[in-house]
Amino acid sequence: MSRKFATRGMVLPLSLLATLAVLGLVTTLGGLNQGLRTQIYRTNNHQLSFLIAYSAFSRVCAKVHAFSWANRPFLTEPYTETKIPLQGGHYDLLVENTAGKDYQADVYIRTHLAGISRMYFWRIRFNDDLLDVSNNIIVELYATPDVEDFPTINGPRKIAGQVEEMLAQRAANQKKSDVLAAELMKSVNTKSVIEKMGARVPEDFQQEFPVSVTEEMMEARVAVAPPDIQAPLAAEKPTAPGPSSSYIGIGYDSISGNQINELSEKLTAASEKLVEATDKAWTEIDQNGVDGIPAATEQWEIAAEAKQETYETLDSLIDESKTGIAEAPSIEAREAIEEMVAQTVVSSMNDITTAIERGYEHLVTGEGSYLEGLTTSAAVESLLNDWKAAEERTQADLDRLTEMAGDIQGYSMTSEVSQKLTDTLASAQESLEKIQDAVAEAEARLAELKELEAMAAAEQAAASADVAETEAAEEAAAVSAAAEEATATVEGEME
Amino acid sequence: MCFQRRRAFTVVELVVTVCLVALIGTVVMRLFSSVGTTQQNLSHQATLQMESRRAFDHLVDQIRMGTDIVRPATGETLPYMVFKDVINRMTILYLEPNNDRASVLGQRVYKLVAYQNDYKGGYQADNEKILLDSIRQLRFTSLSPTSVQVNATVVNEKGEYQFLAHVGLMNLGGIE
Repeated sequence: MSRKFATRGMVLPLSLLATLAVLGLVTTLGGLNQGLRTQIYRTNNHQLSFLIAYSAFSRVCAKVHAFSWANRPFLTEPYTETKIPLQGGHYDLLVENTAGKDYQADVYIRTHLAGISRMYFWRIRFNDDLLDVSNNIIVELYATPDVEDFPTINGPRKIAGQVEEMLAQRAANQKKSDVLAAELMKSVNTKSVIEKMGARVPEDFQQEFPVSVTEEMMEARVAVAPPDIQAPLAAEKPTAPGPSSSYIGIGYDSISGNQINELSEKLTAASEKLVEATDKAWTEIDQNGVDGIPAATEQWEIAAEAKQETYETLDSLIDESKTGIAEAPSIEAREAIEEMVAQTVVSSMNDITTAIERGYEHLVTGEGSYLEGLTTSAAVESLLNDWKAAEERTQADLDRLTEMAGDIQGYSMTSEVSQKLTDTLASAQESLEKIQDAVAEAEARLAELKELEAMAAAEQAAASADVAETEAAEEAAAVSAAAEEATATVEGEME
Repeated sequence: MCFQRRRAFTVVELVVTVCLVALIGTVVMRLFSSVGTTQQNLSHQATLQMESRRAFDHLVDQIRMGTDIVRPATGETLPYMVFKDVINRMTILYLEPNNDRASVLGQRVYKLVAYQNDYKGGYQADNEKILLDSIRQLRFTSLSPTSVQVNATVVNEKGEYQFLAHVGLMNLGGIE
């Protein structure tokens, strides 16, 4: 009996201890496991809620596609769905037209999952383009407002109201962000990017720690500077100078011909320089008057060189295009070359006429005052000679432009380009007429001044003759008086 | 009358008993110690995972609000990311060496810093947030102009936790 009791006395405490240990372990692990599971559950729900909302949003987009924009479910009044079960939760939906905006809609989605509600907002724009069906619906704005902001049919639209404010902020920051983004695109290391962002540049580790191979590779890697692609807006205009090297590869292009691309770029640069220099010169004159002539002369010289280069390049381009057209492998390729060259040539011709027009703007506004301000025939004659030279140059420009228009007359070109060509020649003709009128007026003014000067000269001559006659009479009277005095003296002596 | 002599423990019995008690005691002590260590390890790992997931959610939410990825360019992989948000503020996510944690862990450990440039000029302390304080590596790969793949490894004393996410920007068109 006592032996049995002694044995039990050993086993019981040991069993109790072991049980307590296991219980402690299980409790601790269970608690931890539960905590971890809760966290994972919450983070999963966070993502899952977004997926529910995104699914609901996709269903709205599908409905718009299915019904077409003209027959959209929210055409006349907001479209709502309530407590639609999805992915273990449910969502509420309200879609309505954006107030004051065509082809735009506001989508409000409120999700409920595991007792937590979340709110999502999308503003979408419908792109009514049958040729671009994959891009019909564009997300304008995505936001995650407070759950309380979910609107009722007639309730306030808090988030929609904030969009206007965002719009203003976005517009205010647009230029700054574009400039900063352009700078960041050129940066090739992390430090320079952080500096440009205005952030705190981190210091290196204070101790030496082993560096992993992948980390070393990443640190040694130099970010690739992407190509500087110009904004495509200019190329999309009807009068644009055709595609640049950003759009056509540097290698030889059997269709358009590499030489054509190079010449097009050169031509565009020269014609733009012509317009720019001419504009600068006349701006200088406008602002500083006669004092601005030295600076303006420099710009005119630049403009003259640019004009010469433009003409030469135009000739080369037209010649080159003829070769390209002759060697074009298909009708489509030929038409493509013709259209591109025509577009480029017309654009440069337009630049030339713009530069000419810029100079003659003053003739319309200031021609009378110029001539009236000049009071001598010599000054008017000098001006007339300059204007006659300008008339000759303009006539030469018009002839050359007409000749070029004839060269590309048979080229395939869009109606916009064709119209632009007609307008360009008309503009050159108009400029010629302006200078011709100015020359005629200057000639008339010269004749008028010459007549006035002749009259003035005649009057002056007459006045001079009167003075001479008076002086002669006075002189004769003096001589006569002297003679009489001498005679009297002689008679006195004889007596 | 019979006098029965009470038998005492022999030396062998005593030695065996002491050995057994010592053995069982050691096992029990080890068991408790093991429970403590396991609990500590699990606690660290759970904390690591929880913090990583929370930071991951925050990171994904931030990127999702972006409108344009400035860096990395499409196809590029970088240890930092710059993107614009809907009101054209610029945000950079980058790594800063964390010397304190590195000393404890004996390896290169960084903080994940998010800094937002709102064009007020100069460094604005309020615009900086530390998303994670012990990250071992971070990669951003731009797979398209509107999406980025994030790959990060978070570490602590007892292990590491890696996450990989493909995040798409939600603000694609901008507002007009």
